[in-house]
Amino acid sequence: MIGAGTGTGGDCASGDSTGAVGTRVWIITGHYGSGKSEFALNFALKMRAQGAELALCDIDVVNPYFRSRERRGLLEAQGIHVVGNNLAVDEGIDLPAVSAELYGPLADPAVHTVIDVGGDPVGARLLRSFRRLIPAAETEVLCVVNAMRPATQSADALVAQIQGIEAASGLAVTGLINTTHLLEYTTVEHIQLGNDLCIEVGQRTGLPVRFVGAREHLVLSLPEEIQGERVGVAMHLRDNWMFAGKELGHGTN
Amino acid sequence: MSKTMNKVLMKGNEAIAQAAIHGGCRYFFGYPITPQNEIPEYMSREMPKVGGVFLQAESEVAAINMVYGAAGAGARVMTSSSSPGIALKQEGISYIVGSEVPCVIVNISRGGPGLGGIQPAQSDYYQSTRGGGNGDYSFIVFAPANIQEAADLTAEAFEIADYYRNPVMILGDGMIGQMMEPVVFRDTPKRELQPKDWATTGTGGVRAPNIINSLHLQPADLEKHNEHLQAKFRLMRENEARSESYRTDDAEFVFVAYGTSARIVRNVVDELRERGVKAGLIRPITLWPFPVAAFSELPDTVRGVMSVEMSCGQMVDDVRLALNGRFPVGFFGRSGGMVPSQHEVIEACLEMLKEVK
Repeated sequence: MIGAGTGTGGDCASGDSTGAVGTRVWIITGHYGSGKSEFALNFALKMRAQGAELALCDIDVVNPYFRSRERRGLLEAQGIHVVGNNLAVDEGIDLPAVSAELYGPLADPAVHTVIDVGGDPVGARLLRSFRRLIPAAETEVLCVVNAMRPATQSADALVAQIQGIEAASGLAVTGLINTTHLLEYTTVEHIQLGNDLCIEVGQRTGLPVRFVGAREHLVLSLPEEIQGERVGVAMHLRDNWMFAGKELGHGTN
Repeated sequence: MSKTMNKVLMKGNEAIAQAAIHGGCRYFFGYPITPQNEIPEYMSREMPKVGGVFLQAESEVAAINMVYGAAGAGARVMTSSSSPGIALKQEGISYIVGSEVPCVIVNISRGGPGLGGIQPAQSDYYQSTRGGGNGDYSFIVFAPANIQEAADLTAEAFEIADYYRNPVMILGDGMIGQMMEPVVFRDTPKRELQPKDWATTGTGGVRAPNIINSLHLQPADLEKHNEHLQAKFRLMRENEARSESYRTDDAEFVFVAYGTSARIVRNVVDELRERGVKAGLIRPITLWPFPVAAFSELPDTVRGVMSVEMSCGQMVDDVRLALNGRFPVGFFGRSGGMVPSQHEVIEACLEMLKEVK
């Protein structure tokens, strides 16, 4: 089962890692624009593919676009229960209208829950309102690390970010996710850079690198020293046309 | 390490804000509105670090007038907003042009009219290129189609604004503001700039006061002022129009699209070519001045031209003017925050090709 390993080198892309299921609530936090929602979405899809009864709760009130609940159709087709805001509108609303429906999966021991949290401490603040409902012994609070994001390129900045998230949410961060990427320009070197940064943060905080999320073809070529269970990430939140930007030049005529 | 290591991953709004600082902007006045909020947020954090000033004004009207003041004092200054907020700034923009002070205005546009919605739209084309303020005025409007271009044009906008003593607008739809892409901050093309001896920097007791004003009560004076402004706008028309033409050399069908729409249409062009339709794209990079030269260069093989916009049809008017009846002109648009799909643009093209024969 994905996420059941020790967090170093398990291979969830092939779905062959096994072990006791200790964690059933996964809270994905971190700096906005680092790849949280894409990771949460892919992580949920992979867990579901392995048979878990699953809810994806998108409580992002920071980003107005590119939210995991915008892919409700894809997720529900796979049997994933999607919790968005309480207005039953997945696009075009940027109100902090979190649905009480969120409490259902948290209270049900049979349901695995992935919570996609809004970016930065300001997004994590929402967690405080229902932190007493979170089953601490069965929960991992993970912070994404993208070494290509200007605001999280140093261990100092990341440690401050983690402390901010903990202070805002009232929850302790339990691990890191290396989501370091530059979209389609990502190389193994970039992921290695993220790995080095995660290790540095880990040395200062004691936090393990639980996962490394990258495009499937990169996951397959990651050297062994890259820490974290491998999670292949397909880019569900970016439409096809978004990859054409690199072709646009600055031709003047 | 590969050369991409110089790149960072940024949201469009962040990249625009950083590019402004990179381009010498040291004053920012704004008011929150989605989907451009990351710009003031970024400025509030980063401006103090470079000795600059960030101020959240009490309204968009106040913000643009603070821009007017700072620009009059010779500062490099910017404001940003989204569609209805830019509507509120129109009076100030007219005063700024009339007073000949430089500044940069960013519009990360959303669906309208009125409050509309927060999803991306391109329905501020008229507002940007025709102006909502009073009087005969124009300013350069850049329409970036990716984050790197948004950063490059924003930094360069400050040079161009200073060069002409006129505002420059960056018009990106909400998608350009919200999407993430790699970006690198590189050298900005420099203009030969005159010292700002017109700015209100204090007389030092040795010169007459400089006055920043758009008031000319004598009709002859005002006409002379207008003639001077028009001469500047003519220079901009002659020298500042920019566009990118893609696969237009042998085209039978040419799309015209900017910003996010241009990215979708570029994929459409490739797909149509694979299906045997010789399609091409003109992508205006400046919406004003409109890149009319790119239209003159179209080959006689063209049978139809179609403007694709996230609006109900605005730029299409400029396409008709640029072509002056040479080819049939069609339009395809989505509005309200809906982004056109490649499929529906292809269908619209094939439908029009049936009609134009």
